[in-house]
Amino acid sequence: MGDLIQLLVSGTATGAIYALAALGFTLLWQASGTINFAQGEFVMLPAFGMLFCMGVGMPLWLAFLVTCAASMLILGLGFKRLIVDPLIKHGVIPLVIATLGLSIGLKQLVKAGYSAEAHPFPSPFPSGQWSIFGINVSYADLGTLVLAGLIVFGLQTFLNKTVTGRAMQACAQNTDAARVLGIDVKKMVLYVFLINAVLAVVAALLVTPTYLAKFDMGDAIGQKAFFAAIIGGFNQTRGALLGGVLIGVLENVVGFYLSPAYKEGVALVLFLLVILFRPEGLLGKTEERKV
Amino acid sequence: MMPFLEVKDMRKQYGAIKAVDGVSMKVGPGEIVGVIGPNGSGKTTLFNSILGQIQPTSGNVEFCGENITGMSPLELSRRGVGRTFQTLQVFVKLSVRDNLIAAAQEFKGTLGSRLFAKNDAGLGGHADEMIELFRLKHVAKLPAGSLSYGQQKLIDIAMAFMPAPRLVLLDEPCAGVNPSLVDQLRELLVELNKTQGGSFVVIEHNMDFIMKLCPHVICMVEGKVMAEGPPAEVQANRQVLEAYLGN
Amino acid sequence: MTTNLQKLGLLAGVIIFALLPLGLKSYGVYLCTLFCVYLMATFGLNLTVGYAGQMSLGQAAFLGIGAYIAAIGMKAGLPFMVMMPLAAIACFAVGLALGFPALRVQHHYLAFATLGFNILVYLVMRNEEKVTGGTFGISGIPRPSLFGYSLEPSLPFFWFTLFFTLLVIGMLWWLLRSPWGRAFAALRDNPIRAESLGVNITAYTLLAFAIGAACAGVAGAFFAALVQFIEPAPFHFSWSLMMLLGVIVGGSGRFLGPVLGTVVIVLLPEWLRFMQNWYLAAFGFAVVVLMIWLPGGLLSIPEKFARKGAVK
Repeated sequence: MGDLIQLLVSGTATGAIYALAALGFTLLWQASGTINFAQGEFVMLPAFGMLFCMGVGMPLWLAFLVTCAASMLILGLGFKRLIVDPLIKHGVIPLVIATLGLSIGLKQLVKAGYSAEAHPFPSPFPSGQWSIFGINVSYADLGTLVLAGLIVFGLQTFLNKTVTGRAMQACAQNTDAARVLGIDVKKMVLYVFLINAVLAVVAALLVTPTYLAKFDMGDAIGQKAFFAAIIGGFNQTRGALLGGVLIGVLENVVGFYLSPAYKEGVALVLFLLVILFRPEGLLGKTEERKV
Repeated sequence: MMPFLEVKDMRKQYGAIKAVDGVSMKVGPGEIVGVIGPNGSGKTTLFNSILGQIQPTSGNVEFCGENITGMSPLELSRRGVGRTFQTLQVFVKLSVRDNLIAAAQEFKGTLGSRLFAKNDAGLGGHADEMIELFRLKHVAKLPAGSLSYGQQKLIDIAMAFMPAPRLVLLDEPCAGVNPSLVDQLRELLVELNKTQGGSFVVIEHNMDFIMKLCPHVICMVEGKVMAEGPPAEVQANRQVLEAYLGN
Repeated sequence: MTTNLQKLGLLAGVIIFALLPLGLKSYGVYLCTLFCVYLMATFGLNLTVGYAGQMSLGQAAFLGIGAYIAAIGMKAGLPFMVMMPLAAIACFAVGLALGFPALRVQHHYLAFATLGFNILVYLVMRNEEKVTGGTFGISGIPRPSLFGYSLEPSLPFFWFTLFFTLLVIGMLWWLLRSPWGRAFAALRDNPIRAESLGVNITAYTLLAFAIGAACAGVAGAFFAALVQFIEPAPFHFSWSLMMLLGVIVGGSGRFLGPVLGTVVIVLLPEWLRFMQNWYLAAFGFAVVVLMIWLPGGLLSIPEKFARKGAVK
């Protein structure tokens, strides 16, 4: 029983990281119709960014902040202005292909320009475990849960309780109506891109200590983020959270009780089950056929 | 004699709002019937209910004795029922000629046989006739989206008639069309009615157009049929006048 | 509507391409043959994506299915001319089976379904060692022989492949010249009106998807005979993305788009090899720049200049 709880806790922690990446992904899709195939690389780049900062002597917390700023500028504002804005008016597919090219480009850029090897990354949390009621929970998992939880909670509060947040939601639901109501749609969409950039940096901070920084680390994360978003429901932000956590937990459970070899297949199986039996996602709403 | 189109007690309710409140009508073969009424009287909802675009709350529609209530637009097209839309629905990237051919090609043969057919599915001649009739020859090869609103309207209507439907429902064919074109349109419809022999049901606000075109007119107010009969009679009907002009 | 000049130019291009390998070394001939293989697959994908307007992320899976069917059959001694049509039929059937439920749900679900399908097929290819040889693959696939002549040498095999590539392209051209082409244009332009005019969108898109899959199946058979050793890697989902990239970059929905697209995905990385480690990075960013500059793909260049000329 203790094992199971431990698995649940660490699975939720891992899932929370997927959820952060999936959340950004879903927000981008809702706000601007962008399907970002480079989402994994948006996590990979900040990982290397932080490594670089620490390499020039910055402590982790400073490296994190600097990378957040850089990420917001480049992967938020830059991405939006240079790539999304010119392309979105031509439909989804050109943008998808562009993000695909971006994904390849960024990955190979890091591989050729920086390093093809895996680099260790310091954990923001102290090592060791906390024993409670006979269950061991690592500080890292606990810290991840707390941090991710704070961010998600903060984001939800922002989206639901502030004027700006509600304006953003309005844009996502009905851009034209939002514009008519006087909401600065362009700014709101920009905020979403900035938020996605920050979420990716946080995800990098939390996931890289375990999985190490490598040029292709974005592949697995991007894929899981995508799956999490679909499993939870592409048109629901809470769906991304559920999807991420579900994948994280089930991976751990399957890996322990069945076999570690099947761990990687969990996200795929869940994805297939969802698109077969509940295509709109677990929390998604069926899209009405527009007559 | 079996009526061509028979609508029996059609009702469509949206919550407490009775958009269509018990409308019955009969249309004979080759007949032209006009439907008038103030905005919001339920005319388009009635059309949409007949044409399977929305599911009626209750009521029946029979076409040549067959119950077609709730049938999809596709199934209705197969039975020779066509419509035009209030908002333009042409294929903007296709040429005028291609628009017309597209409007009828799916009714010739099967999916498989069409794979082996000529490019125009044998409809080139018919399309050219329509183009002549609607006076669109000079723009026949241009993409429909590049033409004026009035011209696109003509294409839209021509498309509805390409498959030689037995029944066509026209939803405000004169909307947004300049007055000089309205007369041309009316003459076109009369011509098509003669040559193809189909029945028309026409929603319009342009009274002059309706009165000159339709030997039989139905007036709807608040979801119900307020008056029906020859145009002059309906026009003189006090209740109709009140509905339009207010008390 | 192609003018006579354009037709002549195309013919000249085909002849030049057919004669080109005479002056190339064996790797060059191999590349030209590989180009033909991917050309068949991307032409099929263009039918699904560009003409029927569907998103398919599983073309590499069909390529793989065709390849493994051909490989297994030929290793068992069956002739290529039997296995190749078999591969096409199998992929057509699988395409129907996959597309039918997916298309009834919603538009973008075919994308997800093909994505899941590709990943699944790849895993099966990698794990089912008894059938597919797993990661070790199937080696020693013989080249076909035609009327007693062996197609083992690269040049004859190239012409053999080119012939069938032109055949496949020709069939697609004929398909799109029929009323089907107009139906596709209509259902992309205004699906609501198209449907009310009798266009059976589900049937058309399903068939386009299945035919596209069959083209990849044929391509796969030739792929197996070309490389003579197949393993799962070329059929990974990332290759589906590559082929999609090729179709879009070349010009989605334009008949000859896949020609340029296949040049981009097969030949461009080869030409960039001089950049060594950086060539893939350059490739990726080149795609980004290309999409921003030409969202309609490379074949939209003439229109772009026409518009510029008109404005001036």
